[in-house]
Amino acid sequence: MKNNCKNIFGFVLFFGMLLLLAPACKKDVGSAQLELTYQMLSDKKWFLDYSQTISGNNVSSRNYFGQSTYFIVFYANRATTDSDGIRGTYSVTNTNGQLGINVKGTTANNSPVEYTYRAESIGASTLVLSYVSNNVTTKLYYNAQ
Amino acid sequence: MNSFKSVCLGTLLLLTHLGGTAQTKSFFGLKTSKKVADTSLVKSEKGTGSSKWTLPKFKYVKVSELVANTKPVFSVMAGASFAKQVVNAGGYRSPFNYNIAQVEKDSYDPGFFGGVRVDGTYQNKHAYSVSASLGKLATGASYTSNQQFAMDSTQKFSSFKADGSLIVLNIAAHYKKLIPFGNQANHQLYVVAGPSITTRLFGTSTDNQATDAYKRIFFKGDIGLEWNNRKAYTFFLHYSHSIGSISKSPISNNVSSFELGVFTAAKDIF
Repeated sequence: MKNNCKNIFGFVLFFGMLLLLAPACKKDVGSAQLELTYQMLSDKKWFLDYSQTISGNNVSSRNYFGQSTYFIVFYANRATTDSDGIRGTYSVTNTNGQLGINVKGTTANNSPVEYTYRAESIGASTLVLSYVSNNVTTKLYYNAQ
Repeated sequence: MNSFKSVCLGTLLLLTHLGGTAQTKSFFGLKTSKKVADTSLVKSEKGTGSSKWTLPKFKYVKVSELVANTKPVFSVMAGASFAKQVVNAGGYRSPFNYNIAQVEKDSYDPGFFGGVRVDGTYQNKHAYSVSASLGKLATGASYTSNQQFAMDSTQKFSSFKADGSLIVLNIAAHYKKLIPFGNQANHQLYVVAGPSITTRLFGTSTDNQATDAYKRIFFKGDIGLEWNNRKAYTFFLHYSHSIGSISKSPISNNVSSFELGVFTAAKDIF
């Protein structure tokens, strides 16, 4: 009877230890967020469907759905182009959990340009970016096609 | 051809012998040769009326007789599981969004598992089992979320995406209760219930590594039936439901699963 108890105790102990130790290995959340963001953005043409301008309590909206509108393409090799003729590279940043997209490129006239968007929400088909200028927040709603 | 006939005849004689005496093999330390019910009609000795036949005499097998003096038995088990997650993302917000129409799969998806278990009796009264299994818990998922984006109010989004495949280690402890049903010398039907503890081992998607929304360990309540056939193998059907959410607050994520499997004593295989 004692041997049986020992066997069962050993059985439970072994799997109990496995239960506690097994999930210890996991990827850093920050790097996983960057990887996921690149996955979701890459190799898609993002069309601007909707924009909101928020200044204090005033919110004004514009709908571009179904119109010839602005688009931007993010490639898997970190290159980017947009409908305004800007070509360059992009990178995803993570500052204290806030994701952002930084674009460095040149215009059609070869003038250097750099801008950063704050990533409000990133999805496989829906992207919400924002930026602040002169205390006015602009939110841009993109749809992937 | 003659040898084939001999084998067939021998098998037939053996089956007839086993069926007639209800002789059973040793299992759980039991060596039984019980007649559960003598179903043959018995001629009444005291019968004076027109009928000289009485009803068959039944001899009931007590539960304690079946499980008494048993030693724990190590078994191996395997089976299929069918699981589903029910997600209410509530007010949870992450940097990521998932179109519910694209990620929802409201069904029980098939997975599998295999493991070992110990069956025994505590103080010769209380039958129990302790099991450990590794498996792939494939799950469908249904979502409830009110997250929207201004551009299209008809589409619903969730900031959390349930993983469709979880590689898990599961440890369960079940109390077993014999149900007096049928010929208990040959077949035992148990109802089982108890808790189990599950941990995700690996295979977490990038989506959930990025949000780290799943709990590492979660608890489940199990209930089910186990049917033992001639002490040789046991079929089981278990239903499990998570106790509390398997995701971190404020996400409410409950997983339910059916496990259909079989186990047999390890000594009979190895």
